[in-house]
Amino acid sequence: MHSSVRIAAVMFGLATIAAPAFGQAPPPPWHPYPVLGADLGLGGTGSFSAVDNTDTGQLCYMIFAAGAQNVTGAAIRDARSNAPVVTLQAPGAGGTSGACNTIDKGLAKKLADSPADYYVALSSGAYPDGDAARGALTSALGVAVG
Amino acid sequence: MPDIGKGKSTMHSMLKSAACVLGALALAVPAAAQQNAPPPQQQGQQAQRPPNAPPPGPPRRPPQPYSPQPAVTASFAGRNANFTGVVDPAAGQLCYLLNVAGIPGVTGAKIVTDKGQPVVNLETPADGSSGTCASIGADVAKALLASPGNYVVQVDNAAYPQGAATAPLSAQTYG
Repeated sequence: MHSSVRIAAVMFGLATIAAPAFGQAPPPPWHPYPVLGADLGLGGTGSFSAVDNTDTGQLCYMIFAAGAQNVTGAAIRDARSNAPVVTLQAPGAGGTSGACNTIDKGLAKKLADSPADYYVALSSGAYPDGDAARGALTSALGVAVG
Repeated sequence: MPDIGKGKSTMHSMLKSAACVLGALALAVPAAAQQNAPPPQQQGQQAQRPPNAPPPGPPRRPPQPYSPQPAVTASFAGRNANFTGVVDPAAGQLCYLLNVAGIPGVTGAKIVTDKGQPVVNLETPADGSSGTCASIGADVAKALLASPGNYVVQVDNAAYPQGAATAPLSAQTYG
């Protein structure tokens, strides 16, 4: 009889501990999107950061290129053909720009999976072909933007 | 070759000297030419690059003088979400990138004072992120930079329309 009571007491104690854990809400789903980046080769003064939503094709980005003057255009380009694949907003007088573009989902996935096949290039009046500044694209998951 | 057996010693030594100089030149010229040629490994690397790919190394033009821009950042602890904004106080402009992948069902985002007063409406990161350049006015821009600790980035969703998550701003320089 005594041992039965002890077993019941232990079971009750375990249930007391376990019940709140079962009752807790699960953590919210976490679905990080790839964060793209590029060092624009301006001595640490130029960078490109973007969140690449591979599910919807939304690409939100920010460019900082205070070291490049009179920038007239910006794009993500194919490293083989040098053709622009995503037109970006050119940084203005303050050297910064930011926007969200909707791009083809297949391209969004390629940018995330094979970033080395692409680079970010800035053009200016003196360098209209994207030689004002450029940097190879990188991709990472679960990192801070900016 | 000279006829050695005829005893013309002067002619003989001149011919020998000439032959030595010729031999030395024959060795030295190719060696000198190699000094200006790229090393074999570099040539191999060039061949591996895809055609028309941008050249490796530093940019083709020198960077211009610049000033790092003041920026404000915020990190939502434990939520895989963060905000980076570059502030141009003279132009009263804020360019930002907001990543809220770790906060589900976002319906709005803004910068508010620590008392909850909205000061900057941010683009709703409906698909997990947003970014743009917004005119916020010189006064707000200066206030954000002067006292970033007085402001927080607030992200709302349907379950928590008054703030599903908040993160305090902190000042940094960008660039």
